[in-house]
Amino acid sequence: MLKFGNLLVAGLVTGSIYAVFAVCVAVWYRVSNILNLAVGDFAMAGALGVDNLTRVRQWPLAAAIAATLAVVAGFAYAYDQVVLRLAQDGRHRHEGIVITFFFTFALSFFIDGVAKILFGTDVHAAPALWNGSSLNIASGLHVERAGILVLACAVLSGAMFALYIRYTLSGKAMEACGENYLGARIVGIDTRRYRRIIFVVTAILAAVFGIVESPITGFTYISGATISVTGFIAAAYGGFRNPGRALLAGLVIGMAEALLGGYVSAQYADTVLYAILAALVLARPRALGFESAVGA
Amino acid sequence: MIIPRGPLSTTGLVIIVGLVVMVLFAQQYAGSVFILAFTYAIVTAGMAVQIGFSQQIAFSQSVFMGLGAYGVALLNTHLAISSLLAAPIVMVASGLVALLLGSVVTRVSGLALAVATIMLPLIAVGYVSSAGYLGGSVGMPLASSLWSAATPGATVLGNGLITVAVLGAVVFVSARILHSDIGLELYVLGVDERTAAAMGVSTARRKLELFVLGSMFAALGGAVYAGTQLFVPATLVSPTAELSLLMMLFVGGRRSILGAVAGALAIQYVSGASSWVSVNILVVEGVLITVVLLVDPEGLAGIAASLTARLRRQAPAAGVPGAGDPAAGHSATGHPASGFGRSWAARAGGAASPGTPLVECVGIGKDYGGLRVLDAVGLALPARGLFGLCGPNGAGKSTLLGVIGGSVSPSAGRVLLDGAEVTRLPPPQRFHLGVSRTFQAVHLIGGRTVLDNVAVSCLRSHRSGLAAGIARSRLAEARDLAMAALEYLGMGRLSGQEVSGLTLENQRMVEFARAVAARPRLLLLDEPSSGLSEPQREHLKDVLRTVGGMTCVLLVEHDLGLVAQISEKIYVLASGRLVFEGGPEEFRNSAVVNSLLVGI
Amino acid sequence: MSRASVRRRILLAAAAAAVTAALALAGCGTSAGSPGAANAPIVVCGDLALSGPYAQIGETDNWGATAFFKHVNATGGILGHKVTYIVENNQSSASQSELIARKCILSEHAKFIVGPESGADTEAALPIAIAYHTILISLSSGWQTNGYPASELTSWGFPGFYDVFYQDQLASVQQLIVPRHYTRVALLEDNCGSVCLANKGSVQALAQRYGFQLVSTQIDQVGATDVTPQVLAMLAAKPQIILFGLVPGTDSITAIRAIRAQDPNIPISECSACELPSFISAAGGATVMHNIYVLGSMQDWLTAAEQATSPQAQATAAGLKQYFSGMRAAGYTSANELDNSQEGWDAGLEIAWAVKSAGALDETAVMHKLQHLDINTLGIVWARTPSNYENISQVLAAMETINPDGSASLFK
Repeated sequence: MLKFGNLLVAGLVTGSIYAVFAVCVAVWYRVSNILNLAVGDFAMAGALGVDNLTRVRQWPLAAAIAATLAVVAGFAYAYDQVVLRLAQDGRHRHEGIVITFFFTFALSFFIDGVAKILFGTDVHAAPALWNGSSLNIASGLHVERAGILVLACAVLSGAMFALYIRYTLSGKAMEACGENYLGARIVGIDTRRYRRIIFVVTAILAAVFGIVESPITGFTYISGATISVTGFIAAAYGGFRNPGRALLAGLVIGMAEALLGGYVSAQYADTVLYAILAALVLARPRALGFESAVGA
Repeated sequence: MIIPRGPLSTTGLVIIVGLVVMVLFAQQYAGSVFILAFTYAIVTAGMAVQIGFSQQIAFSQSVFMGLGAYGVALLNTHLAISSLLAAPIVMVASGLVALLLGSVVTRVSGLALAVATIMLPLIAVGYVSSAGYLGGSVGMPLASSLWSAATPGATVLGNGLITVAVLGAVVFVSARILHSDIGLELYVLGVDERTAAAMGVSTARRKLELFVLGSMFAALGGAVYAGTQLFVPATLVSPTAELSLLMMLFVGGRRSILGAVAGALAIQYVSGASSWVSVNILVVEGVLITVVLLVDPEGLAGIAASLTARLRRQAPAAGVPGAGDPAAGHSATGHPASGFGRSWAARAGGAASPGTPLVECVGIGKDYGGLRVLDAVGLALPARGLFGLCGPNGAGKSTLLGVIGGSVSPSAGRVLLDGAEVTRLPPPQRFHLGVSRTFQAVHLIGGRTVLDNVAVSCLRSHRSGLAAGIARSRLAEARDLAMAALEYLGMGRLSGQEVSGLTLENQRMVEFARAVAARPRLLLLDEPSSGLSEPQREHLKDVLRTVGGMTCVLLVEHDLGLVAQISEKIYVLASGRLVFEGGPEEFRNSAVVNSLLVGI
Repeated sequence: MSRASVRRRILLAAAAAAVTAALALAGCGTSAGSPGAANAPIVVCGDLALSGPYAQIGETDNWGATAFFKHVNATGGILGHKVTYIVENNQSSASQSELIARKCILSEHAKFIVGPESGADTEAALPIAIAYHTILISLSSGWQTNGYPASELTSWGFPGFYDVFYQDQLASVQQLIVPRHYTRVALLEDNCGSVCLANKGSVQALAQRYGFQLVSTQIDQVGATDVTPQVLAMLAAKPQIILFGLVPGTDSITAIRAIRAQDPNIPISECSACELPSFISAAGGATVMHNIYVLGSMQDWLTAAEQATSPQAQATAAGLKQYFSGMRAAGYTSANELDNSQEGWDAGLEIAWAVKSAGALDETAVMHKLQHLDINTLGIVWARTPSNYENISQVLAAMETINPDGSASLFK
């Protein structure tokens, strides 16, 4: 029972990591129909930036966080202005999954490369925001403080986006941008602005999350790539459009991974998990929110 | 957008460059760099065919490359089979695996396909890392390379020549397919799957064939990799390797065989170009991919095509050489007695038995979740005549057209063609029974001529396998038929023009011509007049009248005037139900219709 | 201009472009002077990972090698020849490692290749070195456990470093398990390949020899985000100490956090590269590192060697002093740089010794000398034989612990 409890807790924490990135991917996909495959790299940039400023340059933590987030936001804004605007509205209007994930894929390379130059190749992590040893939430059931922060962050961000989309006017406008780009423009919604705002917001969220999460796993300059893949996968199983479902999908996948590891095989947990996920999407694509194949 | 050169010249170019390079550089370091680049090119050329033409990304090539590489390594080290002999064995075996895997995987498309297939490298890495017999996380060495010679330099030369030969073969096969009539099917499949199905393309079969082809070439590339590098690292099957392959394809040009080869060469060149570049390879590649794709989404091939087009000073890619010149020996335009018209009249205009309607819908209902889009709709159309289908927005007109055409499966009711039940028959089969249609959104193949676009519905290749495209192509016949249709419609002069340069009106006419070229027995038109100017509508009316004398035409329209002028019977749908059915006079005077449609 | 002739022109242009590009590519790659001239420099080529997953190790290897050859040149060279050390980036990739080996030999006319760092990359590059009779000093851990074909184990390639995985376990056993009379031991090993997975066999053999029990072995997939299942399984077997067989990097952090979440006190040994200030900070500070043992920095190896009295210890101390002064002279002064660059320096030591004892630059003579390497390279006492290249008699390693203030001190 204890083993199950501890596994579940660990799974929730890992799942929260997947969940936040899934939310970032899902929300931005919803508004722009582009997959943000650089979301893990923004997280890495957040963590390594804060680490560099506090450890190497001895800045106070609050200033380091503010400065790092400002840089991340600025960069995301600039990238959207320069690259994404050209890609989506320029001379060659790029449609289709095909092109729209290559730009953020290239972006993730770029961010990693810059991180290598700035921060080197060692393992780093931002300073823990909540210091102390792990907590005993029930007898024998342990959870790390950083893990609690991570879980809270995930739930907050998922809830925040879900509420925003459902209950605010601008949230609905934002939804319209992804549903029908031309239609939204015709009714006067400034689609460009919404896309940019959401891109910047998800970049900041990813960076914040990297800061919160890095004490648990540590980051190197290439850690972002694996995270982006898991974020994409979790977002996919959440149906890509619904931040609430993306959150749930991330948590479920994290817990499944932990439980498979504890009860089936620690060595093959991931492989089995991926096989199950693949079978799911092949058997019931529509139930998971994908459009199924068209025609005969 | 790229039109492939003839298969022989494309292959010739690749082989000549490959030979020159290998002979010059085999004794130097550069020779080995080229061998690695050509090896990747074998895989990317296959990817260009498999992925480039569809909007579907499958992340499976690194896994098949690994399958080929490990297969050769196993045969080489355990059974002492030479890598040269092992390569084709492994390629065939991979084809079988791809057939099994593909039949499951190609059932889904779009993001579902992407998500399902991204699991493949992840699962493969997990398996390989724990498989002792494959060398685990490290990898497997080979005993002997493709070619063994006395000196290392001669070995490299031998390996290189074999690699170039294999690449040449792959390029040739790919180019032959793309140039054939089946190639045209692939192009339209890549533009829009629904349109392709409606034009008779067996989309599921083609997607599976593409998957198998791409996978076999990837496995062949893996076999060559193993035979030239003499070591198969476990990282060959990883997601990183897969993304690297995709990057090569997209930077080079995803729809171009030469582009795919160029992409592999370019990335390999960049990797080794200088110390600074290789240390900062991430930054360099990030910038390179972004810039190339921003300049032209078709990558380097697209940039090259634009440049050469500018050199020639005409519209880009003015058709494949040898395509129809609008001259030669076709009959006068628009004359119903022309050859095309005669063969159409022979094919259409008669029902299976007199008295039976050509097409009949009985009690058609369609629900989407909780939304009822069609409710107990019934109609019957004879073998000839013009019929209108009108209604306010959201009434279910396009859905009904989809039910008749086969792209929509009704929740209730039956569809009969010639008295036979076709309710669940998929669109390609209905096409072969004589049903043809247009869509609201025009889906033409950009970069191809009007003639080729119209020829899509004239293809005879629908029942042939992909391999048949390598052997022979009946594209010329399809083009002849298309030319006849264009002349019949008075559009002959447009035949050599590239469609992206056409006005929207002309594009709609081309789509119409495509539907007509199939000499359909039932022609379904979805808002053919939308976007047309007044004189164009007049011309459309004339054409429709002629066509209506030949076959049965069901026309969804918002232009009530046009409908009333040419239809012999009009159906009106509102909120999924049929609220009116009658001739043009009744239509004009009906109170129901006037209250419903005022203002449209 | 007919279509056919346009196409022909494009064909020719493309061919010309390809040839030009190829020539440009061939031109990329420095030529290190004509070999064979009287005092021609000896070219040593580094086939190292300066980007990609192994970049951290590759960089430190490069620093060590650079510093060593600078030091050699400043002290008269080898047999009067200066050394030109060129480093090329293999991008942590097997295919690139092989290409770089060819580049080193064909374009740069290298007499020695140093690197690569991983089993896979070495396995790719070895056959090239062997085919061209060029000495290759690999910096991958483990020589006989990496799965290289048998014929390559006793040829022109040599291990430049000892099997750290085995030696780390041995040190933990000799310095912690035996003195403290631990009987229940758990092992967490990475799945980095056969050399990592050999940890289990090594520890089992040590268990037999030293009288303890290996109660649980768990496997961690390199780069996993969470190892709680493995940790719970290990702790369920009630071990008194947890041994690590992990690749340095994020895996150590993930493992430490997961273990400490469940058990704040259980000793952990050996944590590679965990004495680095950046690592300590990333792991959450010095308090997290308590009861974690590290085969630590070169500085502590020097302290330990100076305190011991055996001739080998004295030789180690002398060698380490030279290492520090050489690194500083080459401009490497930070803790990260000084602590971990011994592998590159060791490779240099092997090369210098072999050439000097052969008395000539003839590669066969040097290769035969290398087959009998018996020097002390910064604490590794080699006893290489032509049938066992990996044979060492001992490693004078120094175990250390991390103090609450983040500094490290020798563990006694």
